[in-house]
Amino acid sequence: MDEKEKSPVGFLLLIPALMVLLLLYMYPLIRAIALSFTDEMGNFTLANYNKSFDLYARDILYTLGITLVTVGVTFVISILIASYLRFKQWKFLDYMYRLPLFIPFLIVGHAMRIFLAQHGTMNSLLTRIFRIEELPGYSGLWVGLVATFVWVMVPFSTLIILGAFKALDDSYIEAAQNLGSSKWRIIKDILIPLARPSIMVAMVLTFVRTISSITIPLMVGPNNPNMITVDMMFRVNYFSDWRVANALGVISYLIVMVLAIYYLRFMVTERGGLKR
Amino acid sequence: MAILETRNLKKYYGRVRALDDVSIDVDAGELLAVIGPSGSGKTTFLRSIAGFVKLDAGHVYIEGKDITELPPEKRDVSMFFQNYALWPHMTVFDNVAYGLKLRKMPKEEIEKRVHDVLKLLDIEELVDRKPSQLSGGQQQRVALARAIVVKPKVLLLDEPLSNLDAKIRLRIRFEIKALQQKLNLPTVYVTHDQEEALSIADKVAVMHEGKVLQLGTPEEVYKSPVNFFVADFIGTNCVLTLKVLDGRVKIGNKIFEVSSKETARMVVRSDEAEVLEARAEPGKDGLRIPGEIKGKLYMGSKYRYEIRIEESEDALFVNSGESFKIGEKITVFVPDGSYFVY
Ligand SMILES: Nc1ncnc2c1ncn2[C@@H]1O[C@H](COP(=O)(O)OP(=O)(O)OP(=O)(O)O)[C@@H](O)[C@H]1O
Ligand SMILES: [Mg+2]
Repeated sequence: MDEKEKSPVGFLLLIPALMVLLLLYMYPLIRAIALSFTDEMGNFTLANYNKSFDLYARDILYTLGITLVTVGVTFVISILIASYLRFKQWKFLDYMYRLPLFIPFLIVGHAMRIFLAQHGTMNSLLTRIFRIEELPGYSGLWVGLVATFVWVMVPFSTLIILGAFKALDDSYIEAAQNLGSSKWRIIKDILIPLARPSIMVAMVLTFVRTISSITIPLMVGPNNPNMITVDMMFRVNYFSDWRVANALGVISYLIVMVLAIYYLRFMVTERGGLKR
Repeated sequence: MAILETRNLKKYYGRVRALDDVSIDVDAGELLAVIGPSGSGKTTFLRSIAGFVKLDAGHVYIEGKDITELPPEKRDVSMFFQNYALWPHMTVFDNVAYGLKLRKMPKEEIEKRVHDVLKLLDIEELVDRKPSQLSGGQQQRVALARAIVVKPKVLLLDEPLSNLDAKIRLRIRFEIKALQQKLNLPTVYVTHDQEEALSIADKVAVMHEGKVLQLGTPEEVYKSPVNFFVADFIGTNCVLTLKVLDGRVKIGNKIFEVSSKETARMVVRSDEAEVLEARAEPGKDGLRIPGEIKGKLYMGSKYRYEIRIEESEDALFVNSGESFKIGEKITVFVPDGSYFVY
């Protein structure tokens, strides 16, 4: 049978899923895009975008920066944990790294606020250990925000990467070790390149989840600059300005889209170039 | 002095004895073949030399130095993996060059050594391919190149030919032997194919349930097996179960004293046995067993006969160029040194 022949039954089975997608996802998206390009009269305009860039250019860059730093730090920590667990059995770490998965964002945000505050848990510990008098609070700083994001993102991304590491045959690792490779070199030369597709997935998900998060920046982030999501909320809550909020939304979409295109292109070349 | 020495290696997995007091030496340029049935501990022996198995007891020495506690990456032995373990994301060049890069060799030197070894193995033209674009035989050569290019002190081969088809296997067997002699590399060669082991080894170790039953030259192991297991495992054989009367076994023209009580077992090298007419007189000394042809298979250059004898329930299977009829009375002749009673 020709596999390319499309069966109408298959298509029928897809319809419910397609309807949901269209109704819940495509329709609002198109509406949001449309709204972002119209003024109160319903005429086409770029004013919403001009306003977005005038007011929030710095916030957009800030959001991008926070997200990229989060992805970077998450990558490093996830690779370290996953590599450790690939080489050695350590049940405790194996359970611990997943713990944050089961704690809601709201609680994490609040816990981090207390932990990172000027007179919070971390500083009182530091003061006691190092006998330092005055320390700043971090919960209003970007460092605190990134730390919170990383805490939330690491478990999921480690889960994906460790899964890929564990799927690799031991002999790939042993062959490298046998030729004189240290653990670090094995991580760099064997584990990461062989698990690249999964690592990419983990990083893309981390990126998207970070850039679209609102609870955490609201709770631990600084008030100025803000992340785009928070700006959008303010636009709606305080100014009832759906148009600029939507323009900001579309800008977020575009950022993610660039990433998506890059990712898809990577997947295509990977499939063609690296056959297992 | 032996390059590789292993002393009283022990490794237990729960109650399974993977290595049970194994001590074997390999001299410079020597090829040791380790044979034994599945699960006899061959791979465990190799992996303990490479450092991937933590021994419960015993020591491994290379050039007199105790390396028992050294991690695998510091041992300077090269292992050839049964599944080749070529890294799929690297080209043939990168796979082979990897060990040299780790040794921080200058680029030109690396290129030269890689090309030399690929040339030696006759796979120069594959240098830019990925492992997925290679045939099984080509992958096998690349894996071998990767193992020898670093000039290890000892080469460890785990069933290097088991994934190849029979014809190529025969040819590559000799290529490996020639290569090993040319490089003068002490080599441990694991296989479960006894014929392969006999044909290429300087020394053979027969393993069973973690123990080395016999260690000797291929001739010693074939001609004077120390026990029933070795006799049966090496060579192409028929096993006859025989009745013991008063500590003695009678078969054909011979009587043997045995220690076993009720039954004894005789291993007959069927390649060495001949089928003769009932009254024929062989010119040599040996065991003559009268029997009757029960079955006959045509095999091209010869026939294969199933032969019933009085002394045992078990049939003998012997090849012969001559044609006999089913039901015909014959004599099976086995030259001295080609049968063993235990
Ligand atoms: N990691 C392990 N955990 C538990 N048991 C093991 C382990 N490795 C090997 N064994 C056991 O030790 C024994 C020897 O295994 P080994 O792999 O050395 O056999 P082998 O002679 O190489 O067999 P084969 O010809 O099938 O490759 C077997 O009974 C095996 O089940
Ligand atoms: Mg094995």
